[in-house]
Amino acid sequence: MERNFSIKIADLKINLNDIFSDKLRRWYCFFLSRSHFPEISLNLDYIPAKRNLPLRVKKKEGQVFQIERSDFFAEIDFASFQGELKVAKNIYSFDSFLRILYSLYLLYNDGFLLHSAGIKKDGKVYLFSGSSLSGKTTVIRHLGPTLTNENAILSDEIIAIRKEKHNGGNYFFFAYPTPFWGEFKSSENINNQRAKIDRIFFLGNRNFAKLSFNEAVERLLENTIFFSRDPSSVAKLFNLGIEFLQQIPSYQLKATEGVQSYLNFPK
Amino acid sequence: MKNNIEHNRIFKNEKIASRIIERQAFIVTPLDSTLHLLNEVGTRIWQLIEEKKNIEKIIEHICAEYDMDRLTIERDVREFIQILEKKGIVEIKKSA
Repeated sequence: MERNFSIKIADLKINLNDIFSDKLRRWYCFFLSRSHFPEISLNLDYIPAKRNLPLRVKKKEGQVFQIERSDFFAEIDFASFQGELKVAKNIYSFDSFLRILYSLYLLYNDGFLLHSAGIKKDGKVYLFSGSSLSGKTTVIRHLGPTLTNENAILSDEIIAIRKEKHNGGNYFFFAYPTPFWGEFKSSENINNQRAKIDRIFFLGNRNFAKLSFNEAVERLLENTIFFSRDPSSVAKLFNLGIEFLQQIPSYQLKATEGVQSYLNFPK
Repeated sequence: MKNNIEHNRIFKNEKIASRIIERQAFIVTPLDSTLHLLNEVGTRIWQLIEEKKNIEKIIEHICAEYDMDRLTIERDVREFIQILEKKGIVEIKKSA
């Protein structure tokens, strides 16, 4: 019997026909959508993993992208919202594919994925961006006890960001939680809703300070998750990143600093 | 035979993404996903490339705007443009 289900990240849905859905449903339990109007329909099948095939993301004709690695092969048409996915039957392969898919899917919707932890406090999102071992999880551990709302942690690893209208008026940048977590992986409830981004901290070895625009651009691009080398996609991502930093104040911060005191630091 | 590079035309590679913000050029080359930040003079040269000036005209502008000797400027501009070409940011085509 074939069953369908939908995953929704950053308000963008994909619909999958069932292969090993019980595992997937549990893994993505906070990101399932009941809507019957999926934006991308993926015909899912599974394959054994090949050896030694590095990741390749290639734009073909029109809006068709081909995504290939040892453990998955996919072809997705962002114009017709249809695609095929063949993936090794394990959650890690599927999860890796999903990150790549959403890096493209978000860009078509004025968004991107960022290596960043994020918390929501008093309706505002604070982002803590950095590579592996930069201290994202450490920050979340420090801040966790100060947060009163159990849904306040968006992720300790990857945040989805979109430029969207606020109350039908101006455009702002919003952060969404993702199912892509690092070592902090929590069984707590995740509220799959957007919130406005207040500021971004780039984690590193230097003490708290406002970042120059140049440095902020460098740090943002370093930490943006994007795999395609298609020139028009890269240009769009670059321009979106510039716009993001023109709107969102950016700072450098050591993960070991008293992070709490910098959340309300005057901009 | 002397290569008269000054009259060659410089074309911005259409595949790169670039922006000038607060008088600094940011250039991204998609093939290696690298961000290139240009300094003040580099940014001015980039603006002149975007205005489709040839190397001779670029040298004239830089000489008029910066207090440096012409020989140094000529050398630096040529070297800078060759670096941009090596990185795939511009293409240099011989004038007909």
